[in-house]
Amino acid sequence: MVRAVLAGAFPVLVRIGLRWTRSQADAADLAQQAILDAIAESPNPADAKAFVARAATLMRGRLSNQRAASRRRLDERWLSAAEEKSRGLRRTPEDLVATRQAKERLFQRLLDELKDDPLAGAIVAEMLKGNDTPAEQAKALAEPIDAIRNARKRVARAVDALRAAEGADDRVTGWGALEGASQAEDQRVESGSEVEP
Amino acid sequence: VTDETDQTSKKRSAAEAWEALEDMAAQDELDRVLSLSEKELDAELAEAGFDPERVRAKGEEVAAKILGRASADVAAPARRPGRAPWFTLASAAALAAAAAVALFVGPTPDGHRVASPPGPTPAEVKQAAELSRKGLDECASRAWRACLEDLRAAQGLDPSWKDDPRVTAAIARARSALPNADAGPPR
Repeated sequence: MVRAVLAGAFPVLVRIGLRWTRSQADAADLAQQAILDAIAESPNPADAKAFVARAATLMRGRLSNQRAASRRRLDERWLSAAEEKSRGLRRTPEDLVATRQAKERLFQRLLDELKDDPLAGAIVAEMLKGNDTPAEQAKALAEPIDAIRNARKRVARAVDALRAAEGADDRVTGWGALEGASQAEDQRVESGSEVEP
Repeated sequence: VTDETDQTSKKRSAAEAWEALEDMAAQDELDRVLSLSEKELDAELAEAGFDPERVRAKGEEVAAKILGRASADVAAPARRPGRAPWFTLASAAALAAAAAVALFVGPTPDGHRVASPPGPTPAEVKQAAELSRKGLDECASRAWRACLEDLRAAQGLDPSWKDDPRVTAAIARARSALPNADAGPPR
């Protein structure tokens, strides 16, 4: 029943939203908006977990975009950036370089933060190799899966702390975050092949 | 940071790895929250300063609004997903499907008997709606016994409330909160 799926999704999304915003009101607003976004994509959700997962992804993207937009407006270069976008490019070359450099800086800071936690550091190294799942990491590191999962929690906490400490300079993660900005997307934009419809 | 000797196709740059780590953190948290029981979720919400009952009631309200709006706005023009303001729904397809579901389900938030076959009188429908609203409020404030009595009375007057997920969920919560739902004292 659609109504039960939607109603049941709300408290779960509120809890997830609290990860990204400490405000109760904001978390509730984010959850409500995420349900609307997700039901727009999938009007008749039958699988509650899949619905919540999709809504959570949309919620994260929307929050990042909102934060990025608010930060951009504080940027004294904003008008020129907007002008550039109005010609079709979603991001200026300066944006792309700044975004990439900021992510590299955050990654380096993460390694520094985890230098006293060898297993967490090893997890990060495995992510660099493209081994993303706990099972892949457990196999690669020859560690019990529970230890891997616990280490991933420590990594996640460090990631969140760094994002918060950066003010989460959301230019870092906000650009195109609705579906996850990627290096491939950056390259398309840089080459001028990506133009707004 | 990068390992130049790694030739696997999966290998990432530092920036890509940072993105993947953010995704990992978000996905792990999502998996964790999805695996929580209702009780555990309520405990976490309470710890964060929410009243879990109110959050669930709000969820019911949000769902009712979305499906109710869908039935009212079924002919609205299509919108691009993710770009619509929250008070509108995204596409005509979504609206039509949601409306169809809402009508299939039966009760709607504003006109409870709109698509239902003949049954109780209009006065009974109205009284049942009032009792349901009262019962849901009572459950939200943890007045379990009163909640249970009012919601059951509403269902007796208008059986369509037996299909309302807000009411059935509230009754289930009230029953689980009362050691003996029919005879025992309220907790």
